[in-house]
Amino acid sequence: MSVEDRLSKAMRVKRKYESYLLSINGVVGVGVGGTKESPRIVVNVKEINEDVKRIPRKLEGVDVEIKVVGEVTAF
Amino acid sequence: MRCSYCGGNIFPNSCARLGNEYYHYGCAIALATKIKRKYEEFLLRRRNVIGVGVGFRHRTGRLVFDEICVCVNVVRKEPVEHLRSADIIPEFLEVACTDVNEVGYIVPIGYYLRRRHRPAFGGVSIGHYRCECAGTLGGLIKIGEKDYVISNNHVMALENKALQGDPILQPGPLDGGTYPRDVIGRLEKFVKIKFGYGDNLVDAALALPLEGGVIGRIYGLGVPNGVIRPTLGMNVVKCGRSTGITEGIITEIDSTVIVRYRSGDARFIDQIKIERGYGRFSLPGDSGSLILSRDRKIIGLLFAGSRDVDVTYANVFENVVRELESR
Repeated sequence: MSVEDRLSKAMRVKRKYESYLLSINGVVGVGVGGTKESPRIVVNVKEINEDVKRIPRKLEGVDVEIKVVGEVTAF
Repeated sequence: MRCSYCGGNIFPNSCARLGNEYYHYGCAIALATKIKRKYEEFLLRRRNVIGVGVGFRHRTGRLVFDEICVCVNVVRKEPVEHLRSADIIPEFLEVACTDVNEVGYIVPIGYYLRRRHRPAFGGVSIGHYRCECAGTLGGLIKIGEKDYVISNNHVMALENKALQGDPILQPGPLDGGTYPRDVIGRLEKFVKIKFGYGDNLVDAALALPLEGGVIGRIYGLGVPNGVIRPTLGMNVVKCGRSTGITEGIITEIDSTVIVRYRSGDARFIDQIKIERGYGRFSLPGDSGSLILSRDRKIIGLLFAGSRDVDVTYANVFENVVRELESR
């Protein structure tokens, strides 16, 4: 797969699972991160809890990364 | 040739000058540092002197990288005849040359940006006259025929509660701005934030500046030239009221995030996430900063972040322009 294909696949899969991921207790955001060459779905969480631990490590072949960001507030 | 400090061999293309002699680069710096430390107190007691260091020599306004000197930074240069003889900086300190440079008063950048500035410019404190907060004046944006001041809705429009024509202060009330003395413009329009259900694209507002009150330059970054779309891994820079000029990297695109406001939570889609990697890219008060690429094109509008972790969120600037134009 080309770099563009990998990125657009990650974005497509992210959009598909976004509402599911955002409905999980503790999740504050979902985005496409990693690098252009190996993009991943990044799940930003307030803190690690039992629900967050159950998030799959891969979605349709795209890596899922969990990042603790605390609470996101207006700056 | 021999180094005048250690006596070792030096070559014309890899040596440094200090005063009238040539040295190894490291030897020149070591010797200059020794001399500088010895005379530091003596120099700092002189009129106008606010700093002393070891550095490159300026000659006719340009830096000369193979000449080391003791740099004396002064608030202002004055003609020798206006100075008492005790305040004149000697041309030589032992073997080292001095180089006197005018730098003005040095203030912590964070505080400088929190002060009142006329004309004001991008990167300084701004706020709605009735909020007890301060955000950042992003810069000037041309929409239609006029130049507008851009910042966030939550900085200039009280999270939807403000009215068109409300006074905007520079500095913001948190930094001592008061009505009517510090009015810089009037709220023109804002994109309403949907709290609870519904997706948001931007947290943006425009104010019409007073005639001549604001210039388009951003502190330390110049005037932006155009807009580009963000991509993953892109290097970015911003200047904000709280953390000044910082560089970061776009670590997430197409980011959806739930942001906590005073009025409640709001969901934003198609955002970019920025991290610096060490320290902080931004802190509260930087909201409203324009995020620029290395070649000074506008990428985004900073609006949120985490207090605990080095994570900053920004609106995509194309969305900001589109949403504001359609209001």
